[in-house]
Amino acid sequence: MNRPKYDHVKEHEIIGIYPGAPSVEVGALKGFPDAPKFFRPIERRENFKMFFQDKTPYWQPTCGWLFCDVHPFRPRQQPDNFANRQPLDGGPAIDYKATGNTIKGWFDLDYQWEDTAGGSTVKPGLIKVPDINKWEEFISMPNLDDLDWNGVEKDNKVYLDHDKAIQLGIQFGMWERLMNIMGVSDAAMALIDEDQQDGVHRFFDRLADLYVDYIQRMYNIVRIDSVFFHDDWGTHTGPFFSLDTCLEMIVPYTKRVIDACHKLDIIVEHHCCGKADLLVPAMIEEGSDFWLPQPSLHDLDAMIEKYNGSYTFALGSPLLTADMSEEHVRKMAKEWFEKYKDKKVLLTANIDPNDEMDFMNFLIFDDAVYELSRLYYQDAE
Amino acid sequence: MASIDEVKINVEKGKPKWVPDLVQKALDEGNKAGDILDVMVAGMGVVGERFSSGQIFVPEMLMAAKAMAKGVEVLKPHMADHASASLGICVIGTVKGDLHDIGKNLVAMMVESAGFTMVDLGVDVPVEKFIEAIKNNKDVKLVACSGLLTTTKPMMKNTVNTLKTSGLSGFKILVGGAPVTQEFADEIGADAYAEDAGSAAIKAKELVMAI
Repeated sequence: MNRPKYDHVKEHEIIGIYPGAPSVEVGALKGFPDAPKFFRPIERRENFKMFFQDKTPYWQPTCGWLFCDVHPFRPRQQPDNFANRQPLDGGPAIDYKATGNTIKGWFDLDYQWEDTAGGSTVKPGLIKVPDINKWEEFISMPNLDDLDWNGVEKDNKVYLDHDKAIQLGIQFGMWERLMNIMGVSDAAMALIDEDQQDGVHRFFDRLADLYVDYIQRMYNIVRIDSVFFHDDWGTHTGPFFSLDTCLEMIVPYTKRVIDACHKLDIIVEHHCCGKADLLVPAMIEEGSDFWLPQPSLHDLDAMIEKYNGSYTFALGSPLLTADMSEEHVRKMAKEWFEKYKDKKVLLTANIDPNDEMDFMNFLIFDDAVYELSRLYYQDAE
Repeated sequence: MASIDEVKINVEKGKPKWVPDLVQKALDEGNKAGDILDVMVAGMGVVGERFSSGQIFVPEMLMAAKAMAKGVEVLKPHMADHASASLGICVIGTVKGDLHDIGKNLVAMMVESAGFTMVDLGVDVPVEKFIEAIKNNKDVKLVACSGLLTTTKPMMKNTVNTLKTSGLSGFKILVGGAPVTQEFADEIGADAYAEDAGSAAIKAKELVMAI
């Protein structure tokens, strides 16, 4: 079937809204706003999926949290989402003054909000598991029957009722969860200490079971197109651990979670902050579908060339500052698209915290790339 | 191989299980405690270089630091004047508004392994607490300020500025953390910048030697 030709007027027509998330707080952002829904020739999630099925998409797929083809979903009924002030859901606004700055997440962990950072962390100094070999004595696996699944379904009827790819967020992957329960230093040592590795394996094994079950149950009640698996493997200078350590200790378990996702036709984003390009082979081995490397820490062009399509990277847009004219931004968009149109990459807003990104200019950039890509791909089969 | 050499190798390899016995063996063979400490410090120097060059990673460095700490425990009763073996006191903390402790802890371990006595103020540390620690501890030679967040860079600037104009003296200020660069360190008047924990230990020693 022939694709409809690009129609500038029709495809700038606002035909609805994508609901915002009033309760999320991240960085300086307090709540995500509603976003306009423009006419698209196919559903945005369909375009997103085509990209991962090695089909030519209708337009350049985009990812991220706002103004993209993905719609983040982190229901507050999962305690980690609530504790980290990241309920990306359709529930009512939460008064965090009333909840206080410390909220419990899974594994009975206290998460402390820090205003300056605009984020939460496990309360400094809190060590829940002093000996990973005996973790069962200190913590127990969350019981998923305790979650208010009816509440998830009820709160999110409108929030999830649209054409974007719904992306379920998992706040803490294997490594992050180990850090949370043990403290960073002890967790790092446990990964390579032969006297502790059995305990780590046993914990990760149960954790993988928990995540598989969580995703499956969520999938049973709401549409899930993608999973955002958050496991920061990098520091600002390099990976926390070696590739060998990662392959031996972590990948077998993330792979199990990702395999389960793929059986449900769910696309997995491995979210990883920090410099972690040395660990791309581990991301390939675990089977995750894409990763957004922090632009300022990586040579993205070199990575694209090195992996040559064997792994998908999401690229942050160039830095777009408020002083740039629309004409200049559209010129940058054209250069960007010409460079990457055949490289099988995703586009997202440059969100490096060190940069002064102007989101209004990103919307212009995104619009320009959409138009260019629609025209470029419109004659594909 | 002499036990003292094995001590060094097992510190480098990060073997906390083996190092205490090897240290004891080295003592039994007649080696001086100070000499054994020196080889462990040298071993940690190698570890720091390997970390900075990307040959090893955080877990390996931590295991090495733990191995050294276990060895030092055995040595302590044999050190006639442990304090005199120290390069001085290093007060360390993550600046106010920042709760991150990973980098700060790594630097603390490496600087301690280089021969400093550490006073770790933890995270979210107001400048008043740094000043109090300097006043309460004789022989503070180094103050190390860490920060991970871009948003806390102004606080790092404030901390350095306040310390520099406090009237207190005899110490140098070392800064580091993800958003910190040499340019920023120069701009705020810090005495030195370290990119990672391994180079922090080297910088710490250089700074103190220059006092």
